[in-house]
Amino acid sequence: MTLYPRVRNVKEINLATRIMFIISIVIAITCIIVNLCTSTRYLWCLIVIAGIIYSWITVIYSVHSNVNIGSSVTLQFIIISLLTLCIDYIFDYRGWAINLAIPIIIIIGNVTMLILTIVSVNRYYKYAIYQLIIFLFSIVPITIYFLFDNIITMPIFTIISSIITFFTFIMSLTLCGKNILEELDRRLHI
Amino acid sequence: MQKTTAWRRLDNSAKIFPIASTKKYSSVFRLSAVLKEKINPKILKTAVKMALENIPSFKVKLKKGLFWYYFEENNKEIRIEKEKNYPCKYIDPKTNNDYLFKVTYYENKINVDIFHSLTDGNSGVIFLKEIVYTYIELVHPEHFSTKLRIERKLSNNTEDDYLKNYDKESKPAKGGKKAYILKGKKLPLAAIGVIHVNINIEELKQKAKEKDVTVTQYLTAVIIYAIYNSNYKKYDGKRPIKICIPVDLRKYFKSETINNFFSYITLQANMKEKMLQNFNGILEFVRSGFKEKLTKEEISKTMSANVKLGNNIFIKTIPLFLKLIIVKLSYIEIRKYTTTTFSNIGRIGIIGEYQKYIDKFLMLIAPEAVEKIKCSSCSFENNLVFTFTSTLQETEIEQEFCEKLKEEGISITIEGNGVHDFIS
Repeated sequence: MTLYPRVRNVKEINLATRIMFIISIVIAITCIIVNLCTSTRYLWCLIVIAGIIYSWITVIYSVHSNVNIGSSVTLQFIIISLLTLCIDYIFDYRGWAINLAIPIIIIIGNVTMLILTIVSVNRYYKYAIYQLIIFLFSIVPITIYFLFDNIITMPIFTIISSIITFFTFIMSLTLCGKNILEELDRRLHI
Repeated sequence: MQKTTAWRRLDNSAKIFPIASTKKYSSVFRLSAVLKEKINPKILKTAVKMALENIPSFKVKLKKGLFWYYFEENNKEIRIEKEKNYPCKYIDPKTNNDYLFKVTYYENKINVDIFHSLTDGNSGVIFLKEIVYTYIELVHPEHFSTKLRIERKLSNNTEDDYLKNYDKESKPAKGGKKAYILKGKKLPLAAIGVIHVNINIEELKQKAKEKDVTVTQYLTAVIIYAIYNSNYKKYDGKRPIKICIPVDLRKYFKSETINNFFSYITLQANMKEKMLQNFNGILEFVRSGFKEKLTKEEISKTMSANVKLGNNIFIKTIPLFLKLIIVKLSYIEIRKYTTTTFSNIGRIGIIGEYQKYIDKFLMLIAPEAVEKIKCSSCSFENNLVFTFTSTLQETEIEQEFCEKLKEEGISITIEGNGVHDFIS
């Protein structure tokens, strides 16, 4: 008989963090190689690397603090998206916010939440509500793309971000679906 | 006419906890009962509901007034959950149907995490015992008569006994120096490591008797010894090791309150003094420290100073939102005056017929940013469970503590929550 439920110990948390870190490095290197081998006109791999670094700053902050970082990620995710839209609108609307910036923000937001879910197995249920909010916001661009013409003129980033959104959401559901449902029931009960 | 909801003031100690508490400083303690059979959650829920009917002072929620928080009757459904988080975590009333205590279960164990505003350890034990008694009665109805149930009289006195017993003329004791703060790498993800040391109480009592000290004094000395050897020396500590020991005031003043009614004494060990560099010297220091401070007069001084502060007309009339800011800021400093806390709630007495269903009791107190390790203990039958709750990755203090007990010829076994890889 054990006295406490299975909790991850320090070694396991460090191992999970290390694995996620290696995966990030592999993604960054792959992007650099693909970027250099295809076209060097735009160094888009730098955006990916910046996104990975941003995700990790958020994750490390979360791991070493006692706050529910899910709320901060969600808030940042929404505010930065709205901010880019405003800036684009103020400076002669060219559509870079909805075509490029917002899909990148969506990818970073979803990947950060996924890393947090994997790294902190015992607290994943706390992120559930935020994951759902991020998911709902993330599918707004692709919905706009299918419903309205001429708003999203360069759909490639929107499509990529949507694929990543669905992938991370399914991953989270697979890892902790029951707990997410429990948390949603708790938070949204009438 | 619409019925008004019952409310009551917070007692003098309780006032401070909701003002000072944050997610990092939860002010939550846990009492657990480990039974000899698996817990049935449905029956547990019924038992908690019945216990709440018998002890309604726990059936409250915390509400904000203009100057102070207050308790209001809570008629929401009580939640029972399977344990899945670390112990003694901040209880968010929003996710707990506004209750200020949380009942969880795991395998054979029933946990009650209690926000300190509600009550202290001793009254918490009364509530846990009531849950356990009722649970056992419901699981084994054939073995328990209604007579036994009726005979269990419970106090529902919610008077603020601080106000009844404080001395208006008493002068506050001197504050003392800032304390040595334990050093080390923090656990990630706000984890709390738990290590329970099961100690043979007969051997412990005998050893304490040999050294002419009480069990609490003996364990306090071992804590100071362990901190000194495994943390203080390693990090070249300069400030004194200060141990805060809560004291149940019911032993000193006539009281039947189910509210908070405790005070504390603080032992200040200046480790640079030669006498304190060996275990026998520490034991002597603890013995004389208890003798000097654990008197009704001294305890009354500390209690009275706190009550007078809470009763000060200027403090009373500061609006709550300002109190929140002032207290939270001053607590950053106040917490630096304690190295660790050791709370021994002593023997938990159980009515004979129920004893065979219970394996042991556990008590845990929440560690926090400054007091990174906290210690607590309680005993049942021939077993005393000494518990470390820690936010540190290193377990040298716990190991040193266990080594010392073994060296003194006291039998121990160790259990934990798996956060540390210390358990061997």
